[in-house]
Amino acid sequence: MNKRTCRLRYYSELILFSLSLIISCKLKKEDTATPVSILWEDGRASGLFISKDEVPLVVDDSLSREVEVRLLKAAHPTAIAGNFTIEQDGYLFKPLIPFTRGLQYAIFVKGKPLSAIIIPKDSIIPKLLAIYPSKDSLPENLLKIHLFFSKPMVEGHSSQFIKLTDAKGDSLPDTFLTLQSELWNKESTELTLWLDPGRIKRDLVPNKLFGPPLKNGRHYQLIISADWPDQEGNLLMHTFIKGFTVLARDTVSPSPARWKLTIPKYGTVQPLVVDLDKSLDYILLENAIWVVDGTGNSVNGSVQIDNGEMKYRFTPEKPWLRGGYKLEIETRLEDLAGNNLNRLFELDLKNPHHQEQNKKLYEKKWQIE
Amino acid sequence: MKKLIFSIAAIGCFLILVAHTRPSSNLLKGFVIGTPEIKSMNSLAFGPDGILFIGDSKTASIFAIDTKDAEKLENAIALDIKNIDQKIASFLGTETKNISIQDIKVNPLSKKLYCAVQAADGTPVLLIIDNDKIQPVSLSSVPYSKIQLNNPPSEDAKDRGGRPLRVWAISYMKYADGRVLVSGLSNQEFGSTFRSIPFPFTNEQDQSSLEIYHAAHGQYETAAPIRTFTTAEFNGKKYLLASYTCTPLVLFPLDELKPGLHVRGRTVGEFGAGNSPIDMITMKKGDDLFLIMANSDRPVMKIKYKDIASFDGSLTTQVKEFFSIAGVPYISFPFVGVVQLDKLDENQFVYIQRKSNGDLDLVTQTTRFL
Repeated sequence: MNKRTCRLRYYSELILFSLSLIISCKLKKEDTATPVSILWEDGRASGLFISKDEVPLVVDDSLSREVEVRLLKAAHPTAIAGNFTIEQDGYLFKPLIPFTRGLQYAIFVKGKPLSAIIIPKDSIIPKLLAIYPSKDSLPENLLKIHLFFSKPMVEGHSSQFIKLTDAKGDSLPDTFLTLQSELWNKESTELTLWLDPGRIKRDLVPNKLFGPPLKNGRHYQLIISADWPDQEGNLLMHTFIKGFTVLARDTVSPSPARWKLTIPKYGTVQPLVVDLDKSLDYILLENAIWVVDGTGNSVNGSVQIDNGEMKYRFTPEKPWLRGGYKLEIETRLEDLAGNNLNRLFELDLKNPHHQEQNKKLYEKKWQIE
Repeated sequence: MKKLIFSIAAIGCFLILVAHTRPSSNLLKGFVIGTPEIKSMNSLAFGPDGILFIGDSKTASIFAIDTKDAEKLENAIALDIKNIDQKIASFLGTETKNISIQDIKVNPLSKKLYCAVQAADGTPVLLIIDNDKIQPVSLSSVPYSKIQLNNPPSEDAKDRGGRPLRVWAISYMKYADGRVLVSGLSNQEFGSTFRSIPFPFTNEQDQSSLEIYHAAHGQYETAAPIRTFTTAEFNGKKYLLASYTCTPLVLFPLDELKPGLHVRGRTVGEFGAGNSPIDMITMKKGDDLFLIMANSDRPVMKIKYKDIASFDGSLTTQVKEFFSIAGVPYISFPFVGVVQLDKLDENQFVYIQRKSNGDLDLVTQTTRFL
């Protein structure tokens, strides 16, 4: 480093040090007089309230020109995008996106730092609640995996935190389909992963070259990293490992004709229990089956799915009445390998016996005496 | 007299301006003024007269927004911004790890670059980016309309509410000939991956869920999630030109894409396994048209339209060597790590590129490379 660079660096560090001194003094003041406070909405720091006493020389009309909120230590220091509104005792600044927990922000007036505030971190640690399919033996052509978390997680980086390893512990690359927008639910607590259909589908180039992602008879581990952050910056803290063995390809469509119903008694809220013919996709079980009464209206109630997604229980909100009921099963219901009630995940066009239906619903009727 | 001429000229200018900046009332049919409840912005597409379509995976909806940004500019200024992610993150008051750039699209009239960004907490933000500044696009009190991507028939039947909305990851969206074409993948069933929705949106839910299938070398056939697509005309016939997750390039005649019909595409190219296409655009140089395609694990590719037009058959033989290619030829540009791509104007295209040093830059190239 030459002398000039060294001197420049010395000056810039001095300026930064002075700035942090000014800010830390102001922080102390803020602790006692709360000139700047955080507006919380749904657990998010969605605004900063700045007391008028804090910015006495600013007139309301010039507010957005003279007052700025900046991220301290930003890669490109600049005013944060957002809107000021004039409140009774001060000004409310709402940024375009909520302030990030753990980061420090400063109020600048006419270009000079005035006050700073750290957005506190949330202390509730997120948990991985469940992985579906829940069984520990899965078909070679498994198509989807669903992860359920206790808190909204950071989206868009799942490949960094999910790994599939073989029995030796070696990572298996290119197992999951990379999607530009990941399949999170609205609350960011449920993520669906697709195993690469190109590798599952026989005779496609990826399948020919690399084989299916999972191979019959082998053992695997799905590893969810402890470093996966939730939307507030807290990490999962515990690594989660699901071990499983792979069985043969599943090339049979689910068959509601083989489902066994345990009919509840009249006047009770006992669950209707359905023993399925095979393990089915958890999210579709929740969404593609309807209990319908004799007038054609769907019965309100709650669904529990267990026994390795082979048992479906429906508990009504109100007691069962006498008469006819039916299960309406949408034909889009799939098993673990993407075979639905109408067609298999893949059809062998050269097989003259391949069958395909075009029904929308499958009905299974039952009676309460 | 001078005054009169001036007034007529002023009125004329005003009328021209109005004609340039306002979409016709037909296009705005069904629009309301309000603040659309957009939960995510996964895909952007421009329609006519500055109308911007925003694909919202979280609510499985498409919003049409009248941006009122419809003044025509012929030639765009080249955009070149180093560390675009850092600049956006600082502008939003956070760090790069807390944002993701979901899509970029150039308004074909104004040539402004629109960029959809998602914050770590899921908040979506729409920005206009130029070399000097980043500007937020306000979505408060704007003219908009919305359409929900159809749920399966049973869910639409009476008294079938109360279930969580499906998530429909919109992988690509494009406006063509009065319809919004959308491809995507659901968190539920594997099929129903392509929709064709008339615009202006109507309440009749006249949207076709197209049964598009992909047959591997004439034997095994599956419903196929289209990753990216464009529409193009070859030999006087309009086609959907689609690419799948495993990079084959497939042609579907647009007039055959009808609801309820089981449509199989004609594979005209295999561009190598272990790769996913990201974006496709068409550029013209002289009399020649070129398809430019960005990829996840391969460089940006250039494919000549005339090579696609002259490829009559469908690929049925298998590629035997690892990562080898077949069908229509392509040329690789020396641009790797391109994660977003769009046409900037007739002579330039713009892309976001992850450089080998880890930087994420916004870059403009001209058609002189074609």
